[in-house]
Amino acid sequence: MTTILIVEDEQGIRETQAALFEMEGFEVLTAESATDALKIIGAKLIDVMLSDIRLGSESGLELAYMVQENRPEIAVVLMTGYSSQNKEIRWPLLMKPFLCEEAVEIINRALALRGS
Amino acid sequence: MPDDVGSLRQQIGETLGTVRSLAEAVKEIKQDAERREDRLTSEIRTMKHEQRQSDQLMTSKMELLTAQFRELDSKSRNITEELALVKRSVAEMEVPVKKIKALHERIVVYALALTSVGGAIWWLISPFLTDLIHRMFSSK
Repeated sequence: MTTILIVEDEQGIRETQAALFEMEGFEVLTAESATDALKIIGAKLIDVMLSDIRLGSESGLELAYMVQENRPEIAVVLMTGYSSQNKEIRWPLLMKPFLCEEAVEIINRALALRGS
Repeated sequence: MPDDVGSLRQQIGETLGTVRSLAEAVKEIKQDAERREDRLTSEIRTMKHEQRQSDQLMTSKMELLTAQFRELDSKSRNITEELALVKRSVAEMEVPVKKIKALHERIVVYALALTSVGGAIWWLISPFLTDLIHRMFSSK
């Protein structure tokens, strides 16, 4: 089973997405901040991390760089509610609002790329 | 003549001063307008972001509700199917149950009849049997 870590500071979005991904057959872990996410990544086996770019005072982008550097086996997918500032991002990006189906497709693609 | 030139110079000087202060005022107004524009742009960005966040929440909740409804629907269909199967099984069992019931009633009737007949036979033969046993033991 694929384990996904959802990093989202908005509780409502985090919880509904977790429920949706569970229904899609993923094993889901959640974190509300980059700090929490790093703790979970250090303790558990994660296949993919889906993180918001803006995490309150923290940055999802910085988190992505850290994960890439320390745990390159984890596929990273980012999401954002901002339409600009996204050109330099090297990871697959989901623009809010998105459907779970779109997210699953992008996640699977990111996992396949990681595999190759 | 020199007085005229002097007054003209003074006028030019005053006009230049006014123009400079006007230019300064325009510059300040422009800077203020730029600051307001920046603030507005930032507010609009934040509002758009919040809008997208709430859209995401709505979309996810709707998706979740739809998925849960589908799951419930599928479960209720399964229950309906199972109920239909149980009903069919009960209907199929009705005939054998009726047969068993009839058989049971017949057995009860036979048992009653046998008991009555047995009782009657016993009543008829018991004096003879008593007599026979008595005779057998008294002859010894």
